[in-house]
Amino acid sequence: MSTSRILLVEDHPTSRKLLAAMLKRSYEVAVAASGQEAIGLAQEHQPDMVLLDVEMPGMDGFETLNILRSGIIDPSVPCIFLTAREDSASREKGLQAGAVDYLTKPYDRHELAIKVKNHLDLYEAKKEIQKANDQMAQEMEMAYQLQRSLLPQAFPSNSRLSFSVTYKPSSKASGDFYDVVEMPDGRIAFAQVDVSGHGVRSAMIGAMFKMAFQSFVREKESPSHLLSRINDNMVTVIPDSDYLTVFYGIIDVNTLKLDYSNAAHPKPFLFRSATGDVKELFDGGTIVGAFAAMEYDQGSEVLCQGDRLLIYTDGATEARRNSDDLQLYGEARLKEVFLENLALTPGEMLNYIVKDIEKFQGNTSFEDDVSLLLISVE
Amino acid sequence: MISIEDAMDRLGLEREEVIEFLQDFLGYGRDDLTGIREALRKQDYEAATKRAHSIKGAAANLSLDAVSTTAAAIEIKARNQDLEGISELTDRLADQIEEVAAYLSDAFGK
Repeated sequence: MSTSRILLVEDHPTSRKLLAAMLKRSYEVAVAASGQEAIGLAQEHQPDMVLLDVEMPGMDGFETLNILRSGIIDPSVPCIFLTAREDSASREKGLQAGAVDYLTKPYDRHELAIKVKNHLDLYEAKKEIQKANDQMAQEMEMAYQLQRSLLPQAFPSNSRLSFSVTYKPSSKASGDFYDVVEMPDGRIAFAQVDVSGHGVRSAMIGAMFKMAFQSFVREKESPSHLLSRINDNMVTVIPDSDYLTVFYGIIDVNTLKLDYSNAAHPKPFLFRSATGDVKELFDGGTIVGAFAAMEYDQGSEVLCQGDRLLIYTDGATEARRNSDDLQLYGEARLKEVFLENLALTPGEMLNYIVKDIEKFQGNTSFEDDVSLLLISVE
Repeated sequence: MISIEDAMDRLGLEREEVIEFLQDFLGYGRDDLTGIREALRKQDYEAATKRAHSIKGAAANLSLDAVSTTAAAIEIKARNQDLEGISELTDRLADQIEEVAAYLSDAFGK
């Protein structure tokens, strides 16, 4: 490890030389006789610590520290004020101004050595934490970019079906995921997935699902078989504590027949324009990735013009009024808002739902990832 | 009046280093003393306070306790613009500084 650099600022020549002699045995020391000189030296040396006399002619210690921390040195560099023993007011003011400690005259080598070493060690530890945080943020950004690249850039175009989506990750890398693909026989397959938790780990599991989904869907797998195969693949790979809920469907664009399988995902709302009713789609089975050799049921519906299917993750219905309140947004309210806004275009409807959840929460940041997929029959 | 051993022990410095700092202090201490007298004559109490504060701290660091105590008394009086006895205190400080000079000369030929 390299020797720490200390900037010593003391106006009295004898005290300055004396303190420098004490410090130079263990550290690299730059000495300044005034605040003005300290600013120039700090720019040049970028110290790991500043020892700063409070009372100096011209610029005093408080003003010097303010200037140093206004962009000349890293504001987390520890500063120890040098004060007279009886000057408790300066000591208090110094600590309030952001000094980490103070040394009183006459100096004592043991006190000096301990205080300087302790604060330098703390500063090093803080830098290590900051470095780890920066690295984590960088990795999170990479996971976010990877995840974004896996989301469909455009939906298959079809004159009878329109797909709209709203995606609100709670952190940079989300546990929610969706995909819509046109199968080789012209049918349209779609899936909405919620991986337990969120963050990099969930994003990676979401990416694994995407790869399996993209591969199996081209083999014209039925929804229930596809979920079984993906489950068998993922159960051996993902950690025991992780799992996914999935809603997977296939729509035949000619007959408008929807086949689906729901793996413990929130039950999507299917609005029937002919009757004005809402049906909840629940046929399926348990979560994906937790238990081997699971089988899933499959449900079917024939869609009609004006029907709308809203598929959502539990981040929407489990949004809280505020962090201390146990009151949840809930399925009933989501269904109500869905039904009350059928006159809106699909995009407007999704925006309205998100705004309503935000209004309910009292803020716009989501505790869990929220994604809404709306399929409308034109 | 002077305890070089105390300063060596407290500061962790060699005897020669402490003597060197004492000599250094004498030069600056005499300058500050002249500065105090000049400031008092001009009724610049802030300057007198700062000069006395400067001597007080440097003397304390070198275990010159008597010098530091006298400088502290001058600092308080100058800050409060209390001139009673300040001239005598200044004279006493001058004597104490010269005693340090005499000690160094006698003991170390410096």
